[in-house]
Amino acid sequence: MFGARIAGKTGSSNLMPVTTAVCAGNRAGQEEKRLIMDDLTKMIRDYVVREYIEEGDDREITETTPLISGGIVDSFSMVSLKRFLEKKCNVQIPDADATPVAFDTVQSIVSLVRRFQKT
Amino acid sequence: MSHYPSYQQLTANFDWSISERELGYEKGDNLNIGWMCSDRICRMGKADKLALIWEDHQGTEKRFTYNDIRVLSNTIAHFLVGLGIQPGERVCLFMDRVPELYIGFLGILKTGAVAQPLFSAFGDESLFVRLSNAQTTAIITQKKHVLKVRKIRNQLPNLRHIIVVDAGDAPQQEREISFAMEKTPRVENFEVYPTNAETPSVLHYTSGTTGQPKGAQHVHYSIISQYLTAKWVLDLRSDDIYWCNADPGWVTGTSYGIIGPWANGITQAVLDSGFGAERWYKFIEKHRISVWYSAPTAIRLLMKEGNDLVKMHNLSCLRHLCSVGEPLNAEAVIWSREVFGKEFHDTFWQTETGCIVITNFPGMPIKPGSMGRPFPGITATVLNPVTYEPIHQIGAAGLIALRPGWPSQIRYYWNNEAGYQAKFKNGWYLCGDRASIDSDGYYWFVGRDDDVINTGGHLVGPFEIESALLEHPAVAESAAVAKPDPVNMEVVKAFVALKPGFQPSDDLELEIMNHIRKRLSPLAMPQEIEFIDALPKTRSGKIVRRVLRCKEFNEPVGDLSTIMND
Repeated sequence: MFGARIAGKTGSSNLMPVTTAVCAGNRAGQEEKRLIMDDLTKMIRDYVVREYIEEGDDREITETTPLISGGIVDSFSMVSLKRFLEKKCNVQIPDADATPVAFDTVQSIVSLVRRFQKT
Repeated sequence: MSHYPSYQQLTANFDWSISERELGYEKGDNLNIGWMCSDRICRMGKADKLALIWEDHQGTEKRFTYNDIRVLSNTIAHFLVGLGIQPGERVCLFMDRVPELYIGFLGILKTGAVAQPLFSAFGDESLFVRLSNAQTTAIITQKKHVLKVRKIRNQLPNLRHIIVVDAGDAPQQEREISFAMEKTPRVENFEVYPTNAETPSVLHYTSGTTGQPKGAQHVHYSIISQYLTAKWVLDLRSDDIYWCNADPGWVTGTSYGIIGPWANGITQAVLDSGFGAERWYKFIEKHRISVWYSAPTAIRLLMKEGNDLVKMHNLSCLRHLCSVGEPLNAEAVIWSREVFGKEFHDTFWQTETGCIVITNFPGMPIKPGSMGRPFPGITATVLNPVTYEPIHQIGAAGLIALRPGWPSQIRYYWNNEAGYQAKFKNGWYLCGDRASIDSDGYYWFVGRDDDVINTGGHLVGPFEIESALLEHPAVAESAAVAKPDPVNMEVVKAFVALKPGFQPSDDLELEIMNHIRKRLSPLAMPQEIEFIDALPKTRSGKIVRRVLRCKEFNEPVGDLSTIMND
C-alpha cells in the first residue's frame, strides 16, 4: 500500500478531517494499533502530497520518500507541517525535536507524532 | 607563524589590476564569463581536470571535466542561438541544482544573453513577478517545475521558449521544447559572442522594503572581483575540492558557486539535496571537501544535530571554512573550532555588491561575532543616518556604506532608475545594514536599516508578502515584519486583520501560511500569524511596521510623532 503512487489529490484547501481515534492514542490491541498507524500514515502522506506536490506532478510519495533531503519539503516549510501535526494530532512537538531528520520521511514523522501522543 | 600575507600587506598598494593580470584581461579586450570559466581554463592545460562533481540525494553521481563544461556550455549556447535568442535577452534558469543549471549558466553567457537565475522553490506568483519585470524571453527548467510556468505563461507574452531539460518523450505543451544536454550532439566549437567588460551578464532579483523585488544587473567585468575574492577569501588553491552550499538562484550560488571557483580552475562539488546533517558530513568525507562555504542557518542546524554525529565522520579533509548570509554568531564560530578544529570565517556582501566586501581573511585573527574587515579595494565606513557623513567614533553604530566603483558593483536595477539612485547618499553606496567599527577596524553587525526581513540568509520584502496575503479571501489588511529566530536569525511574522465574516482559527492560520508558501516561497511563508483587529497606521493610512517589529524584538518604539502624522 505504501509503495503505491498517490492516485490523486483531494484538491481542496480544506484540511482533512481526522478521527479522534487516529491521534488520541487509545489503542487496545495490535490490530487496532496497526489500523491507527495506517490512518495516521495516510493522513500525513495525503497532506504532504496535497500541500507540497504541484498538481500534475507525477512523483511518487511513499512512506520512505525523503522529504527534506529529497528537496520536497524544505526546512522553512517544516513549521507549517509541524503546525498541522500538532493541531490534527493534538500533540506538542518541542522545537528541539522538530529536526530535519525527524521530518525526513512520512515514516519518521509518524514515529515523532507517536512519541508525543498522550498515552 | 602564518604563511598568509598580513592584512596590511594585502591592502598596501592594492589595485584590481592584480586580478586583471592574473585573468589575462587588458582594458578594452572582449570579456565573457562563460569563456573565462571554461575555454580559458582548458587553454591553461586543465581540460582534463574535474570541474564539477555532482551528486543528488539518492547518491547518483556525475563528473564533468573542464573540457566537458566547455563543450556542453557550447552545446547549450548553440541550441539557444538556434532558437533565435538574441544578445541582451534574458534567459531564466529555473532548476534545482542539476548540472544543466551550472553549465547552462555559462552557455547563456556565451551567447551574449543575460542569465536570470531564479530559486526553484519560488511559487508561481514570485516567478511571474520576476519574469514579467525582466521581460524574459526563455526559461530553462525541469519537468517538475514546468507546472508552475504553465500556470503563468499566458500572462507572459515575451516568454517565447520554455526549455525542459528532462522532459524525455513527455508530451509538450505550448511554447515548450525538450533539450537533453547530455544526449544532444556535442558542439566542439562555438563562436562566443564578443561581450565586453560592461555588457550585462547576470540579473539577480533582490527584495526591498517597498515595491516588488528589484532586478540587480551585473556585467561581465564582475569576474574581476569574484575571481580575486574567491582566491583570497575562500583561499582556493589548485588542489582543493570546494563546496558552496548556496543555490544559484541567489547571488552566492552564482558568484561563488559558479564564477569564483571556475574562474580559478578549481574542482567544485555540488549536492543536489535538501538539508541533512548526516548526508552533508558523508558528502564532505566522501569527496574530501577541503574548502566549505556555508551559511549561519545551516551551521546552527548542524549544531542542533550534535557533536557525536561529527565524530562519526572523518572530516580532516576540511582546510578552510567560510560563511555568508546573515551575521555568524560567536557561538557558531566557537562550535566549529571545537568540532572541526577550524573556525568559520564570516563574510559580508549582498546581491548588489556582487562580491565579498567585508570579511575575515585566512590567517587573520578572528573575533567571534565580527564581520571582519573590508576587502582590499573596497572603501567602507559607517555613516550617520541623518547627515550621511562617516562616523569616526569607535563602536558607534551607523549605516554600512561603500565607495562605488569596485568591479562587481551592479550597474543598475532593471527598469528602476529611481530605486537605484536611492541607494546612494553623499557619494556612498548604502548597504541597508547597520554596524559599528571597533578600534582594530573590525565591523560588528547591528541590524537592518529597513523593513526587509533576513531569513536564513535570504532577504524577503514585506511588500511582496503583504500583497500575496491580500489575495487570500479572508484577509482585509496585513503587515509582514521580522521576528527573531534562534536558527534563521529572523523569520517572517504576519499581522492580519480579517474581513467581516471570518474568525481567527488554527485552520485559517495554517491555510494562510500555506497560501504564501505556494504563491511566493517557503522563505516568505509567515512562521507565525497574529490576528488583530486593526493595524497601526499613520494619519494618511500607511501601515507602521516599525511598531510591530519593535514589539517582536522587544525594543522601544521611540518617538512616532513624525511618522504618525505622515
